[in-house]
Amino acid sequence: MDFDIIVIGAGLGGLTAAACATKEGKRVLVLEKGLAPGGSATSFTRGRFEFEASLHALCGYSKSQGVGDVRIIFDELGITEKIEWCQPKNAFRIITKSKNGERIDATLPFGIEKFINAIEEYVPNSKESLTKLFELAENSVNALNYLCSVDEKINMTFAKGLLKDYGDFVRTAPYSVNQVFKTLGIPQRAIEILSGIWCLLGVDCDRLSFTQYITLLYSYIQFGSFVPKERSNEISLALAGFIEDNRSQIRYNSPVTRIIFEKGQAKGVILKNGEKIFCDHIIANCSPTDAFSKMMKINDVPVTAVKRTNARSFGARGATIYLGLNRSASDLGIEDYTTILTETSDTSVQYNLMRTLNSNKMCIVSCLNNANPGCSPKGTCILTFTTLFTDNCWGNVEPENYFNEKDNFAKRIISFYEESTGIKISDYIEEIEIATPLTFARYINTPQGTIYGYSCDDWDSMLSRFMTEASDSDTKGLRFCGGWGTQHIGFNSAISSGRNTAFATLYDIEKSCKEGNN
Amino acid sequence: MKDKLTVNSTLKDFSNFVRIPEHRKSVINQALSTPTKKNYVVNSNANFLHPDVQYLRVKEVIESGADERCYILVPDTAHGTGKLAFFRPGQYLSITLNIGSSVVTRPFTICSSPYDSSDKDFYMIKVKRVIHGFATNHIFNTWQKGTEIVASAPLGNFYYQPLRDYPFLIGITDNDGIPTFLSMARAIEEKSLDVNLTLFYSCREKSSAIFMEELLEIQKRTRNFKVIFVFSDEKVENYERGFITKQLIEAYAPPENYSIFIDGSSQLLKLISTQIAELNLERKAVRLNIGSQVKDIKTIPDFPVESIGKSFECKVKKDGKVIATINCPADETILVALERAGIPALSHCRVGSCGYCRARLTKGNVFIPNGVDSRKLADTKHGIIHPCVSYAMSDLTIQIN
Repeated sequence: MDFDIIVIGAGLGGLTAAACATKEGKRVLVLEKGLAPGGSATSFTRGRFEFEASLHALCGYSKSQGVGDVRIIFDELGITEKIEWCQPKNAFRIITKSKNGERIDATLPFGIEKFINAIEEYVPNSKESLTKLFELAENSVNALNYLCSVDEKINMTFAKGLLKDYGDFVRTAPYSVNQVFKTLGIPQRAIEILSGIWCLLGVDCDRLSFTQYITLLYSYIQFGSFVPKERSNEISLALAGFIEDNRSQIRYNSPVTRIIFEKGQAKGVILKNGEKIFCDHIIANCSPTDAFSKMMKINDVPVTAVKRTNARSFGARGATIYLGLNRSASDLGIEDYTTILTETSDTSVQYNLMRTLNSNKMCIVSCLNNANPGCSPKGTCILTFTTLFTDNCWGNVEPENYFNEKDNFAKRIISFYEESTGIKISDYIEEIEIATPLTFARYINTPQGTIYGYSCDDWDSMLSRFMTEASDSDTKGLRFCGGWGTQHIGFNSAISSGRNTAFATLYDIEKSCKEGNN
Repeated sequence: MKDKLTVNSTLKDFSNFVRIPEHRKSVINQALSTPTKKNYVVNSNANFLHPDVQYLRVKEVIESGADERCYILVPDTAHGTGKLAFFRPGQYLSITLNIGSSVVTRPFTICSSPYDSSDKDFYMIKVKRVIHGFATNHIFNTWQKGTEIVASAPLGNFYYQPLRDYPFLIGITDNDGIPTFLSMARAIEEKSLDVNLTLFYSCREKSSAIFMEELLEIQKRTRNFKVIFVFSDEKVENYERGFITKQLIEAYAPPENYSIFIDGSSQLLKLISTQIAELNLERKAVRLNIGSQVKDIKTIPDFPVESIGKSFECKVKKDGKVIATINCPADETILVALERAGIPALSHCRVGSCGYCRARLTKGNVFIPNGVDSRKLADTKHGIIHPCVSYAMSDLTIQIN
């Protein structure tokens, strides 16, 4: 056998898994359907603009060496220096409407203290409860780090042991964001501001696991977010370069059509061109849904895996509008890097509005120039609108209406932005590209154009996946990484899941070597 | 000591925590064990709109002028293409041709209308025979009724976009760019394209204008389409004489804002650029189709003179193995050198913009003319090249897909 590990898919998760295994001396073969590395972490050009496809904020990266999980991985691989980073000034601005129709417009800085103080200014008397929230955040993050570091099954005795240092985490982890907010006595208006980032996880705050929410908020506010100067393509190419320059290989234009199993053990893959490549250890950076339904024979898929896949629903489907404007951000009055626009601060109502094409106006707007000033020519700026759909409404668009529906969708979102901010942009569009779930289906090949993996509903939150990870690994020799894996979505999650999956696979290899020797 | 946080009660919260894994397992256990659903409409529609490949057949060959032919292409159901992918006027098909031992591609702009493909199941493309042309002579000599064709999905970004462009368009073209505007005119007539188009069509003389009758017919039937023939070498009554100038454009331009779409030969682009600059339009209102390849790279001002006449060795790697060592003349694109050597190399637009030919340069230097280097920032830094617009300047090692 030529390779120790085969990785299916060169998304950030797959690339990181391949790079980490390569670093540990393994020969890895990455098989990618498309022609370039990165999956969603890529960019494209139109006219004089280069648009970032999807990575607008990388969490888990810190300026200081050895801080933040992504930073640690990049340091280990020695690629930190190869990537230039920019940092947005503020965490986010949120514009929404409260239940009584009042407008909410808040801009929040990075840094926990500054963040709390800023909310206190918008919502007097919220400081005490927010301080408690961040103490709980720290406790939760420490608890999760501890859980990752121990190799123990989580049972009653173990859980009891957690109570001493991580009691608050234990007692809030089973609940939703809104339940814990209520417990902490956070004022309603502050909740409405804080809830805004739910859309980064795709499940409303009545169902979103508090632990998952707080982990994101904490790492985002604590370390800030980072933006690669030459777009995420720079990260993808740095990882790909590391792999290719160290005896491992990436083959593009090489879709895998079959994962070969023999007696319940992965044995290799078959490519679209019929070529068979044998290998006992496979890491898939694609959806388990596709792996189980299309790439494996029915009899090779364990019943537990079938049931698990059937029990889950898809997370948000993505749609993005990319604008190259022929005015500078300051000429237009755009001051923020990230602006979250929703129609209501009630996340469950908003979630339901996002089910259908016409009622969805929610968007996360990034003005790249406000983090990366030289990203477009002088006198221009780049504006990106990321929208999520919580149901399969694009599946109901007839192909003959598709081009029109795309334009109508973009018009609705752009006018919602103009209404909400009072900033006129539609006259200044020099370049535009509109990506819908069909676009994501085309390029990253996910079912229904999903960009958020499986929905992290309360029962299937990151924590519950983590606590049952062992029983999820029921396909011997085949492990999953990336947004469809245990760590759910987010670019930092994809990267760290790549590393974790690589190490789990290295452990598998070691184990099978021992078994072989015996 | 600081107060403990409890959501319900210490005991209940704890037991809920301990039950998290159990809860997840029980939800999973209750799910159906029928095979996981495989196909989704979004994915099948995405495949239909952007197929990797379209298998077509020549249905009809039409002589459309001196050394000009139009080909009617229909789906080749026997090879699995049932319905043609939709397109927008201005888009092209990249057609794969097997000529001798070479596999090459050529882009052809679709000149039929969107409804022709969606309702009548055909695309029409125009092919002009180039003297000594490798691909066009092959097409002229071998394509006939029934010939099987392998084509891409409709590609390219040169089309009207209502959120970006003004609804009043000025088209500027010559024989090379006319397919784009014929398709647009047909689309306007059938009402699949809601714009007003005034087209300036530059030709030597009346007899060399292609599609003249049809364009005039569409003009008669459609208020929103107007064609102005500009003959450079012949005076024809009721038609413009000379070249397309700023004054001529202004004479026909509407008082409101308009977008200019330019598609034609490199000579046309050269002639028109100063005229357009004088119109002082914002950049967004001038859209240029870089459709034609540089014919002779040695004539490009920034081409390194010391390389003229030189030839280099290029090691070609694919799937981790060296598959060939080929000869790369400095004045020929690396893509052409690959094709000449019989290596199946990916390509579509052949003018540096689509990125489909993407390759990694691991050793050596290449020359990329100004204006066609549309690589992404990080690609440039990491040695990614587009062989269709890259020329060897030293011995090379490249990795192709």
